[in-house]
Amino acid sequence: MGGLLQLFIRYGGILLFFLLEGICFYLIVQFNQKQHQIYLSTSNYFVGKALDRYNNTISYFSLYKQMEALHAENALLRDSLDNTYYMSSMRKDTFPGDSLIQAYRHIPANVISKSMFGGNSNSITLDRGGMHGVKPGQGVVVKDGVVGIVVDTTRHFSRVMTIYHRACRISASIPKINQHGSLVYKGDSLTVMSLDAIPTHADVKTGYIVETSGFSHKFPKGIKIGAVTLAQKGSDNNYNIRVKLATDITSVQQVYIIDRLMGDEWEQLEQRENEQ
Amino acid sequence: MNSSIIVISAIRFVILLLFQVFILKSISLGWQGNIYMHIIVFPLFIFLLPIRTPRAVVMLLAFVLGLAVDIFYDSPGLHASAAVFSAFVRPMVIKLLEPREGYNVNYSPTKARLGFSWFWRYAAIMLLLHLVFYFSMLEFSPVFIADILLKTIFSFIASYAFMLMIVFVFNPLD
Repeated sequence: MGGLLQLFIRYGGILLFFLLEGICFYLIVQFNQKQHQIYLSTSNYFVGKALDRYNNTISYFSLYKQMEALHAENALLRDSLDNTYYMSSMRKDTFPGDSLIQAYRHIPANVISKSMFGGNSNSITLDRGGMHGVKPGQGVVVKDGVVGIVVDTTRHFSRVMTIYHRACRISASIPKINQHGSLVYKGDSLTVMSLDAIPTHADVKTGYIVETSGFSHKFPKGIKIGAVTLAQKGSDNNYNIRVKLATDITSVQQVYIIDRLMGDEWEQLEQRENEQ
Repeated sequence: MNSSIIVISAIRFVILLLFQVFILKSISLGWQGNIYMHIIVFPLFIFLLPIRTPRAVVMLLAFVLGLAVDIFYDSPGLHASAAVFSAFVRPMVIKLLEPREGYNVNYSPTKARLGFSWFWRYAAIMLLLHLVFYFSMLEFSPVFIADILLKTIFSFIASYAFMLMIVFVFNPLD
């Protein structure tokens, strides 16, 4: 208490000064039109700035949630791409809206576990499973890239064999020359794949774009994979083609599982042929 | 503080207030509705209070006088804030201008007591600080810095002339 009194004696003049100026300031901004306006606009400006900064800081905490939402929205947008529809109408000169049948659906998923790529396992685990409609045999893609094929699912999770897996062969085509082959990994750098079974009579040049062919029901047609970097004529009438991947598959976090809505029908048809 | 100084100060308070709000208010000059020359002499009351008057008392008196002027000028708080500021810086200015032999604390800082060569500097510094603060509050934004300076210069010339005239005519001792 004595300290407080001493403080007041020493700084009483300054305290009183600020008290009186505070009263004056209040009177000025409260009862003078012009000063009131200036005060309001200035404080709005600074309060707005402060709120802006606050939001900038706080928004980091919701980034994950927003990313999830965008991921889901991207899946929806991918669902409405051209190559996800099956056109049941024969006519091409009109736009028969009701003859478009959804053929592929995208399920957003996150990578929750990875093994070393290029080694023996070459698999990843996703956080979507049977309850979300994931089934073995479905393809997994990212933007401008193919990740792999679902091999096993549980209720909540699924296991994906990546394109680096020995057993994984993906049907890919070079649209410029209308040839297709299978994309396999032959132990090069993790950004380079090989494209087999392109016949040597085709004129393959470096720089040609490689896409999914659409000949397998796992992936819709036209998902970009990469570009040809090397094309050598091999001994067995086929090219040795190296493809540089457009996207670094090893670092992806968000992927889309492709649910083929017409895949069963397709599969049945091909199986019936084998049985005969 | 003896009673005569209190009486003198009270009379000075009233006279300066009435002079300010009834005469000087109506002869302020300007154009386009923007008054550039405010003639402000009421701070003379604050300037002339005895040196030993406690700072808190000076500030409270200045606050009351400023509010009274504000009521007539219809600008609540404006003159009061400037007057409180003048009262706040008054001891510093007096300290700054302290003559070699020091002050007699019972005296008031008047022309009659301390001489014109001391008083004109004291009044000029105090008035200038008062006007700068007043016009800063009036414009209320550093955007109008040109207006603030112009108004301060014009008003300073006119107010200072009036202030010296009053001091020369009445030549108060305390």
